[in-house]
Amino acid sequence: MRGGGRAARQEPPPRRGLFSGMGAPPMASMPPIRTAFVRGLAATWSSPLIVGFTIGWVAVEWLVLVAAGFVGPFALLAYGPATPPLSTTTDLAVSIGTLGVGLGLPLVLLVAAVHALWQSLLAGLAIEAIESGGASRWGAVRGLRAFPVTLGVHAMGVAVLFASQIVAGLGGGTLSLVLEVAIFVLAVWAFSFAPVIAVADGRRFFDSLGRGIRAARLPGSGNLTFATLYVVPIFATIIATVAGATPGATLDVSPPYTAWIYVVLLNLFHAAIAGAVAIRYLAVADDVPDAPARSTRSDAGARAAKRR
Amino acid sequence: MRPFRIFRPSRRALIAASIATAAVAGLPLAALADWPQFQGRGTHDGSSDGPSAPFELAWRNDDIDITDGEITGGLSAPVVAEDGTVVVVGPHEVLTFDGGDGAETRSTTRHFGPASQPAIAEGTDGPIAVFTEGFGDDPPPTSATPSPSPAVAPDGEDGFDSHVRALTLEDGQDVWETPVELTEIVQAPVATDETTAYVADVGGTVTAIDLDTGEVRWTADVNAPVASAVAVDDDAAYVATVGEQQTPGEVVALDPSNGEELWRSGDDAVLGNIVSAPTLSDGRIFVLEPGFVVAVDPDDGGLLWRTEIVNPRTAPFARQGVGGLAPASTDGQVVAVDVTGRVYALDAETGALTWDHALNDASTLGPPLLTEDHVLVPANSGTLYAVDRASGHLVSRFESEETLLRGLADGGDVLVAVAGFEEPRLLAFAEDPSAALIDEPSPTTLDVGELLAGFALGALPVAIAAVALTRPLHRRLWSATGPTDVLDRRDDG
Repeated sequence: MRGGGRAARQEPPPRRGLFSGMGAPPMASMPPIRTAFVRGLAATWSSPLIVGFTIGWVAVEWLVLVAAGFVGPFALLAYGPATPPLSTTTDLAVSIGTLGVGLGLPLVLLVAAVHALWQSLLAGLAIEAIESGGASRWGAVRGLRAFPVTLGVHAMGVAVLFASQIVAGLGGGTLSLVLEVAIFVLAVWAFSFAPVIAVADGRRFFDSLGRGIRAARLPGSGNLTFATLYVVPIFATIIATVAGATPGATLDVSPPYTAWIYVVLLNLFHAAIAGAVAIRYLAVADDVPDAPARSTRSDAGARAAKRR
Repeated sequence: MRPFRIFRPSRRALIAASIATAAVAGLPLAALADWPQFQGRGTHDGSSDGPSAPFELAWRNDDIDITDGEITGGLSAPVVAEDGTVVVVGPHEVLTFDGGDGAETRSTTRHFGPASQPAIAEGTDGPIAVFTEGFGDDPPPTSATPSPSPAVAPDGEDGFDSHVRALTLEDGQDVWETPVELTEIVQAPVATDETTAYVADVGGTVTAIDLDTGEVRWTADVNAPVASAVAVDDDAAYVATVGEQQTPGEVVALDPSNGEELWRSGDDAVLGNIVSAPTLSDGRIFVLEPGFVVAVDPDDGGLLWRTEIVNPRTAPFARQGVGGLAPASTDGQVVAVDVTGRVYALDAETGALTWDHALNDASTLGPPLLTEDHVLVPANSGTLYAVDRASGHLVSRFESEETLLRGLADGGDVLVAVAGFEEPRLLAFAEDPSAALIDEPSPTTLDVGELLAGFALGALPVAIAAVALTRPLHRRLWSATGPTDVLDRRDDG
């Protein structure tokens, strides 16, 4: 297990502000963004299993949705395995578009669970491809360990999406768009390492999430830049899909080949990002500080005695 | 007690007389124009016995000169008098056109205001056009030079700039001694019955005006904003209030003789904002909420049914501009078109969805029109679609080469519509006997062959290309650096 408790008994590092590491020099152990992306892309796209799994999942999910009464847009499936809240738009639109507002809104977690499973399997496959040079079904089985974490993150994505709508409503015009994108970037920045940690380190939800945020905050890691470079173009494609400007953005249950190209390419892009995120976490796992020890009753008693 | 009415022949009697006259004279029969107000008549059912698909362009008028069209959304939807004269309202003018060739016949100045659809009614000396004007006390900036208008308050003061006026179609003269002054601006079409014009303003006041004299018969406050046309039949005038952000709209029935409130729709009937005018058909009132079609009992306002309309792309129904939105209904069928151009047909009795057709071409500026066989949908792209009312299949697609097509009106042998905002057009569509109908099911019904072809031509090549193109790169990276080069940096450090 990486990054276990080696530093647990060291002096806790001084507390830092959320973004205090932004001005730090680049972290030596963190692979640059371009390097991580190229390696993530090469590792995931060169794997027939990962690519086949991706197009197979898209095809099967589409058939199931059509059977359930969903009529499109097919392009929404381009965001299924993306880090929430990028995938949350799909969760909500598919749920409400199939079941109506009355049922679809409360049952959005059902659709989110499907996409959480997709994301966890992809994380397992990507990590195996990074670590061993190729993916196998055991990578997918290993990825199942991350399902509770990805499910929790998807549930939080729904809350983040609603919060972003409310905050964006406070601004107007361009400002609301900037606010919404900023919230998406922050959420992806905070959530993206959690599935990798769950798979690689076998940690539980809160542990994975907390450690993921601490990894994201490593000074000089460039994680915020990475999240921004990922979110901004994907957010733009979501807006374009809502506006009907991308292939597969119409109501059509038999999507044309251009829509398949668009959806498969974007899903492979998410796979490459999953690979890049895995590389970046695995490279710095030992540098991630452990959570500050929780104060216990005996600690509290000792502090009280000291005060006396 | 209802006021004394001057005898006027009914429309049916006029049609019968025309047919008889034509038959006696041995003349070819021409269909009568029949679209004097929003959605054809006071009930707003949107049904027409005019031409249907396939279409050809009968005539067009590109030479319509207006200013500030971008503020008012260009011209209003047209109305058509029985002799075929077409009347539209522009930002600063009321325009009339010859129904035979679309030539402009008159332009009369009006106060700058929303281009709400006018209505044509029978006056004492022939047909008159009733319209609203004025933006109130806070008009938007205008590029036009203010022009004098006969519209002034009765006492000679400026008053609030929102009025109702009436012009004769014969010579464009004002019918009433003074315009009827309102207290709020109007963003909804004018509705009429045989003796009265009904206007609802954004403040929630409904004003009933005597068509002959311009006297206000009554006013009624429905206590909520109204942005759609009043619907009228013999029993009542029906008003759909928009509601507020947290308050649902209501359908309110008023006594047409004195404006007394007869009923309001029940608490369980309308649960959201109402975005359409009420439509009366088959003994029911139909209105649209953003995600529902609702049927209300015209006797007491009770709920008959409400059907949820789901469109994964957006909330289906939204009012845009002053064009007015309304379901169309006749012969036991209710038809509504959502903002993405998806057409829904429902059973008027039960509210069950019988079919839908996704045109995937936005239609946001006006309601559909129903002919005996087809639903006609003008789209923002300028295409005029015809969908078969029985099967829900697309049977005709006519591209007008304009944009923002809206306001289909039965002009007898032609259907009249407007297009464009800043450079408006008036178009007329006639039946094209040489063209054939098509038969295309909705893209929301599965075509297995098309689905497999899309997958085979789109997904598989991308997958194969991705693997084939990145394998050499992966091999090179793997052999050069091994599996853990980036992972081992921490140990090097």
